[in-house]
Amino acid sequence: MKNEKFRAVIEPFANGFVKNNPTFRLVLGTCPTLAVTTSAMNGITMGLATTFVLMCSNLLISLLRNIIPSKVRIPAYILIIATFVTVVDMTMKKFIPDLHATLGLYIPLIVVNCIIMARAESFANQNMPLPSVMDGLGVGLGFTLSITLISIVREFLGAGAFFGMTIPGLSDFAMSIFIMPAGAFLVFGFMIVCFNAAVKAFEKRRAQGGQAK
Amino acid sequence: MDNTQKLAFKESLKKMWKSDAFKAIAVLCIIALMSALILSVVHRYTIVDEEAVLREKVGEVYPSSPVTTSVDVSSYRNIDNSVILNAFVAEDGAYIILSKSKKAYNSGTGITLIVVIKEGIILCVQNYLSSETPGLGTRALKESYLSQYVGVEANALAVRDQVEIRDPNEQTVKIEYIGGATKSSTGVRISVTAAATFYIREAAK
Amino acid sequence: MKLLVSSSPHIGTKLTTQKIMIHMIIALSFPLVAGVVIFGLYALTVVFVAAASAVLAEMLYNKLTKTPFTIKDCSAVVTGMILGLNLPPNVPLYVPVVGSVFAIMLVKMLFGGIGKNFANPAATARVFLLLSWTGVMRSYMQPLDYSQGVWKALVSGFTKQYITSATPLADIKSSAVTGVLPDSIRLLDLFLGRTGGSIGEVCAIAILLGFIYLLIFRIIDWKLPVSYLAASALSALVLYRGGWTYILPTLLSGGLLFGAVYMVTDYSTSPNTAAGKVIFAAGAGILTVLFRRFSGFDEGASIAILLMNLIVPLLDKWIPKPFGYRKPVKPEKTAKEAKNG
Repeated sequence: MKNEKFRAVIEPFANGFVKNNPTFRLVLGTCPTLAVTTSAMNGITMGLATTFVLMCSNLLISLLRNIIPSKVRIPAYILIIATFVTVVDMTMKKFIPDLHATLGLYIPLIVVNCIIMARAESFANQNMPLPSVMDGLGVGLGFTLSITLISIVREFLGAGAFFGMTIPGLSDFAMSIFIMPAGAFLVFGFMIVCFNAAVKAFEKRRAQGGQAK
Repeated sequence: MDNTQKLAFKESLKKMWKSDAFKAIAVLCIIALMSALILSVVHRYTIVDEEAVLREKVGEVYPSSPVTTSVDVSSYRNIDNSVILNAFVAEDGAYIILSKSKKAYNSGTGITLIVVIKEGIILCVQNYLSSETPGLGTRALKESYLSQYVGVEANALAVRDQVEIRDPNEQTVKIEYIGGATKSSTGVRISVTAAATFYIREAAK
Repeated sequence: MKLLVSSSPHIGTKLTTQKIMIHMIIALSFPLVAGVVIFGLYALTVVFVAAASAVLAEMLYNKLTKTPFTIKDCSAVVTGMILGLNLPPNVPLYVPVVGSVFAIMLVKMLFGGIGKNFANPAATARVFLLLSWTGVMRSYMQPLDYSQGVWKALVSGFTKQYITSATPLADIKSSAVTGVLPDSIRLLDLFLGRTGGSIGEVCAIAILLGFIYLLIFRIIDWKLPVSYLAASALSALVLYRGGWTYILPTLLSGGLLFGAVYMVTDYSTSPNTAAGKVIFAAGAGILTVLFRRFSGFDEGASIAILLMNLIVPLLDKWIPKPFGYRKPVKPEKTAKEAKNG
């Protein structure tokens, strides 16, 4: 019994990384994925901001799921999400103004990030608060991980740097196409391929291992 | 009002209370109210005094003389694609101008530069706020690039009155562009030009 | 067995892909020889590295995906050579290597290999390199000065003892506002290739020789280059204030002529019908001049060709193929399609 409860909480969290990975598996939220991943710091900040909003909105929506009439659930969700996005926006402006200026327009745009709407619609309004929070955390961290990976690759190839530190000898050969939009699509496509190939290989191995046992 | 009317009114209120529409409106209103409450609390604690931050930054850029008055910039909303955000006059008569170019690689945030002009000569150009593409556009914002404007006469850069048509062959100031970062270089040029124009117009007053 | 998926003109001939590609290599050697004479042996090395890494990239791809080797059709050599000839003569050697690998692996092989690529691999790779290493791709060396000794001049590229120079394209662009052609542009120099520019692009006469060779052996369709050049000439007339005086400099400078003969004519990335070909090439010509006149770059040929490549499938769809074409009656058409499917 206890084990089952524990699983109900931990499973949504674990699923967020691989099975429900928003960037590589569900291909949701591509706008920030392509636009802000020019440097690793941008990627990680954007991801964490989204994670925070996702967790909070999932929690509230899950708490209010029996109160909100289903006819007006979308405006209600948007109100809730927009509140948290504005909180994040204001907090970032106060404490990290430089990053806030870099991310600029993309912070308010978290409101219409379809990852958050998708999780609210498909998970939070059908589940208990705790699993919903864990789902928000898992999917959010999965998103953070994915866009950080993309932005590390793009920053490495496009600017010859790693988290803002230029790598001597490499920055002279940086291929600036990778920090342009064209490079974003290239890297995004290849990361999807690599991620899904890795997952497939892993699952195949696990299936074989299971048979051997 | 007699009793039956009262009853009917009560009945209709009850009906309204139970109706979906009322419930929906009520829920939305409550959520909106709650979010307004949260936001006002957060705002209370995260409010940034932009004027103070700006003055501090300006003091860093031009430390030799304390900044006294800020100039009214409301009539400079658009000089050749750029805006004068703020301007201060230092005690020794130098103008410290914040000018933002709308033309930039990242046109959402633009390029904001701090330009110091004293006695018609540009003393200093610094990047205040911008988010150009790292590695490429940022080259246009490095000090080594911006320093080419230092020492240039504001008069040579400023946008003249529209009546006067400039001869395209006349090149008063030679400005170097960065290959591959044309947009950022243009943004910097526009921004400095706007500051120079502002200075010329203000000084003429 | 190798099936060539390409357009109609070579039905009923004995031309195989390999033969076509060998003809292409011979035609490409005209501008290559001219480029080596003008820029020295380092230019030859650049083209050789590009071609060799293209072949190696294709072999590597075949090995990785465990498919049979396809390098025998020589198309990788052609792609590599076209890319190499599109590069400045003084590029560091990693540029052709990366460009060829990109062209072969990403643009050609990932989409299914020869005949299935959606865009011209060499043009795409050139745009990729231009956006990647803008500075390197836009510094051009001056033609060699043989007065100091032939051998010394020929190897000067290896010793980095060369002078970089502005290309005629930059001069044309900067003079476009006034409409007066600068004195530095002399038509005879453009024709003979005594200007700065990419290895294969500078010598117009060598490209024209290659064009004639390809026409004689009926490798390329004359409609494509001719409409490309005509559209470019017309747009130059319209878009430049100088009018007539700008037509020939526009056609002879930069990669326009080279693109017209070797890149627009690519089989798999040009439409199947005559009307489609004319629209495709004319669109590329107009875009080329538009890019040259108004964009941040001096040269627009490869970007224009790449963009027009993308609408080729649409052109093939909009303009039906006339060969063996019957006017469709609606119910019949669906029946036919079902049969085919």
